[in-house]
Amino acid sequence: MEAIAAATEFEPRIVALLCNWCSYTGADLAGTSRIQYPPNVRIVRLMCSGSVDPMYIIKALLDGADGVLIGGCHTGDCHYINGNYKARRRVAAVKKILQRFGIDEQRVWFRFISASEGRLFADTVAAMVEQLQQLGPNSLRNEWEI
Amino acid sequence: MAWWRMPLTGEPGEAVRQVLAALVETGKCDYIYTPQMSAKGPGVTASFVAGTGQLGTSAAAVPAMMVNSAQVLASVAARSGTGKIAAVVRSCEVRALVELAKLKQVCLDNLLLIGIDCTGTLDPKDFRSAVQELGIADVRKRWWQTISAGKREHEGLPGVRQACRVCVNPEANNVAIRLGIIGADDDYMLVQLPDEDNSLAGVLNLTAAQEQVVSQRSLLLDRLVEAARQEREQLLASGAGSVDDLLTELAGCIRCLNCRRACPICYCRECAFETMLFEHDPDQYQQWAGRKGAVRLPADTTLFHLTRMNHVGPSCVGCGLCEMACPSEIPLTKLFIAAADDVQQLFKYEAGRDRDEPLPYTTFEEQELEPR
Repeated sequence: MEAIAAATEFEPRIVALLCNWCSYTGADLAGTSRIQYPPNVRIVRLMCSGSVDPMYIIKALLDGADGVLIGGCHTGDCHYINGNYKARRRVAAVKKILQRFGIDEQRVWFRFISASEGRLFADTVAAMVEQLQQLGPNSLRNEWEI
Repeated sequence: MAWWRMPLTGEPGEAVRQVLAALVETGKCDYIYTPQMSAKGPGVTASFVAGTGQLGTSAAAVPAMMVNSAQVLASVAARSGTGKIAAVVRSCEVRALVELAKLKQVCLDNLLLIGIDCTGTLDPKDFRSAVQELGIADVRKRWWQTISAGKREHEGLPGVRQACRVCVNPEANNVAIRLGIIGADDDYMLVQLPDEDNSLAGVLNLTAAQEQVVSQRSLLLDRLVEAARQEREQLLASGAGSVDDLLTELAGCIRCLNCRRACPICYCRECAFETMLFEHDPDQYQQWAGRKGAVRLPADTTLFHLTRMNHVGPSCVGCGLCEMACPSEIPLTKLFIAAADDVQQLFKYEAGRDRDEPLPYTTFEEQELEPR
């Protein structure tokens, strides 16, 4: 387990859009299992990753979030059958468009995390924090004419 | 589908009118949709005509597009059970129509689509000033010469819109009948009829088009498309590449949402951006202003455009009406075609190409797009 980043580095702020049935429950499990992971993430619970409108991802980044994590069920396990497949397509599209207009697509992560994968959630957040520290702060955090 | 030759006795618009009238008279349709020359002034009116009632000279080969026909046809042919409607449409309009059919906004069953060649249209302001300066008859004549030669420019006319300059689809597809202007001349027009029913050839006294005329048309089309493809690449390369570029391009946006109204693909009766969702509470503005130092008003401008790119991207046909409708002359064509290209290439999809191809966001593969 990597050490939590030193206080002198910038602390990325991640908005996590997690689906109720799998990834949110997985995150909850990380908590109840007392698994230590970086506190940089703000979690928003949705019923399904398929209900993530690209608008939410774009809004988080335009408001200044350094990263957006979308968590869904593994393929075949979606509570609503195929929401996660659609989410995979939508997130892939929004990443392409963001990249074209200069917002690094690596700031948007789409991961399959099941309800029993508490440790995976914790490791995902830690990995994301590390990558975002390398990418640097989102310049849009200071951009008001937007 | 075979090509036929239709002699032009007068104005080309008159020939198109004859084709449409013949469709009514032979019972192939009950209604006609076509742009017509306005009886009120130097303009073009998209007309829905009962029979041949008020069927005047067609404006189908005039370089003006007031509305993307797909948008109005979606109202006129919203459901099945209406009478049969013959609709004259250009390439971007029929492609948008195909997308709207997939989005369940129009029923194509009762539409008899007549595709017409188009090498471009003028911005409404340019069209109006050209007509005022030269007179409509002259504008029409010059433009006929331009299209029939497979060109997009006429030294005596203003340049066509940006979207038209990079259009690689001058010929309409997914249509039952085609009106061929590219490869035509002052004394004839080409008409393509389906092999299973070419009775119209008899009704209109058409003769089979010569092989060399048809090959000439193909040659002109290839050249036009190649030139457009190159210009399209240049346009895409010149587009906003950084966030600052994007913010610069959108700096003039006044949030009128006219681009949304003009876009044939934006069909939502209630767009999120026109709901209470974006009527923020005063506290919210104060909080945002406190955090970033200031907030631009009206808020959510960049969010609107980026969201719209994601929502319409898969179905964007590049008609450019967004840019035409923009009062601030923001180069929306450049931005939206770029975003649309990205999304459509990602899913190996082309908007309006195939009626049976499902929309990218409504389908999926078990394994794809890895690594995420």
